Amino acid sequence: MNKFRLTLYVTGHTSRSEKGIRNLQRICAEELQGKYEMTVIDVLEQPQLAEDQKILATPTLVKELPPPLRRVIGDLSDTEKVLLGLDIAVVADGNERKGK
Amino acid sequence: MSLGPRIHEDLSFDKEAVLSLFAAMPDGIIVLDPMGVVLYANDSAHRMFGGRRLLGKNLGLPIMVGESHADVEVIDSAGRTGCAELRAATFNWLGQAATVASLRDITERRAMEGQLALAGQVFESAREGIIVTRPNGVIVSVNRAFTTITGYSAEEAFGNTPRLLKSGEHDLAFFERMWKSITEQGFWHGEIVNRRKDGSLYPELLSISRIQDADGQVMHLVGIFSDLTQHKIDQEALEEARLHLQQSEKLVEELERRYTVANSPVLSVVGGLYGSAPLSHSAKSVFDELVQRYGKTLELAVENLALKADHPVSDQLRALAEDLGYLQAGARDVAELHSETLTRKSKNVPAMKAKAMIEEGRFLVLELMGDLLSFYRKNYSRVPVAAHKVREPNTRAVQSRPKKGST
Repeated sequence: MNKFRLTLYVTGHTSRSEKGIRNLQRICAEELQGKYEMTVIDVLEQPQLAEDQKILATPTLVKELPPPLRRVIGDLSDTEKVLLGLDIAVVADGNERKGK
Repeated sequence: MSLGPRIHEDLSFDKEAVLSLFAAMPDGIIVLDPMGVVLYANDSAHRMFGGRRLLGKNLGLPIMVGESHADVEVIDSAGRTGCAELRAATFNWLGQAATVASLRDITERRAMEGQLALAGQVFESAREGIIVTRPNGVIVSVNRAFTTITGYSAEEAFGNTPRLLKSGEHDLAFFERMWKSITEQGFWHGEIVNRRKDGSLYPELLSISRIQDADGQVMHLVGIFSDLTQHKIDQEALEEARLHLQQSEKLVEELERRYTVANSPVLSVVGGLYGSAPLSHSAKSVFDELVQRYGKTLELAVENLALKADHPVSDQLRALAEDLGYLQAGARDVAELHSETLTRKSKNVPAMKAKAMIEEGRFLVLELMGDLLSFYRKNYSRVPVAAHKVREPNTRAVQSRPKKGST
């Protein structure tokens, strides 16, 4: 069973970054059924981490595991588009994505 | 992209012309492969990322909802962030699927929007009423507090002038002075009575100032006012409370004074030295009795003088002094006792007798003083200042004691 490792990069504690975090939490809860690790990184607080990962803009959501590595930026409110962008077309449960 | 077909049709658009066109675009243009890796970025895009090399870097695949844009923060090479409006579209780039993303720098706009939003919030949340007019006085904006205070909605105010609120309480000269101040000094500040929509009058503190553009042209006038109704009520209440307090303090003082008189502690040795009340006040009945006894003694003394009688005047004086001593009377009390007795005794008596009583009284009072002093010397020598601490005159002791030499 694959475990997803996701990292969300945000800038400061703004309402938009809060929105990004909420979206990520919702996506993980609904679609990944708990089989995930989620990290939120504020690039203002940890600029070196963002630099190391060559993060160019926020909000950026990175799927580090399972490969391939994928990044999406922009409006993360649409779960389907986010999952598609991260190449998460299939979840472990029955090899089929659960309907929203 | 719609440019595509035209490029081919119009031969004047060669490859370099297109590249220079993209390079010159004020918006950042970035072409990304399906993984989000940068295939092309124009000068503006590089500028927005602080000169950072973008080619081959993974920006991430832009996710848009519908046809709209997403606001993102771009991070420049120094770690600074700026706001950008991100739009994206998929297209065919040199035979492969790609995404073109445009980034518009909205850092300044965002800051300005933030300032505007803040100004708007200040305007709306202010407790003071705010009216914005054109230079001709026509109202173009009012805030919520304006409606709360005046009763007029924003719609009712728009297009009107502040004369809407005119109370008729001020004469022409008042407004002339106001306008003179606004014209010459750029502002006016003062108290004015206005009329609400329901017809009621209210006092307000009003500031009017001009808003000028960069060329000094007056664009708007802003009136900021606060309703003084409650303030006036509070002021009156405060004044009333102050008066009440003053009256209460007076009453308390009066009560304290009376209490002190009524519950005066025992008179001090010298009388009055420790602030105690005279015996005539603190123990009136006892004092009266003393006056009568002293009066009788005085009569006996006069008889001794006139009739060569042999009344035991000195004994009586000593007994009196002893009683005064037990009462812890002072010289003041003896003086009072003497004068009160003379006042009473000299009434309705022949002038000769009155004169004799006054004359004989001088010796009597001196003797009484001496006796009292002896009494104190004998009894209070060890505790000369403790006497004033005794709370009550020992009147019972005096009353219950046999009256030596009174017969």
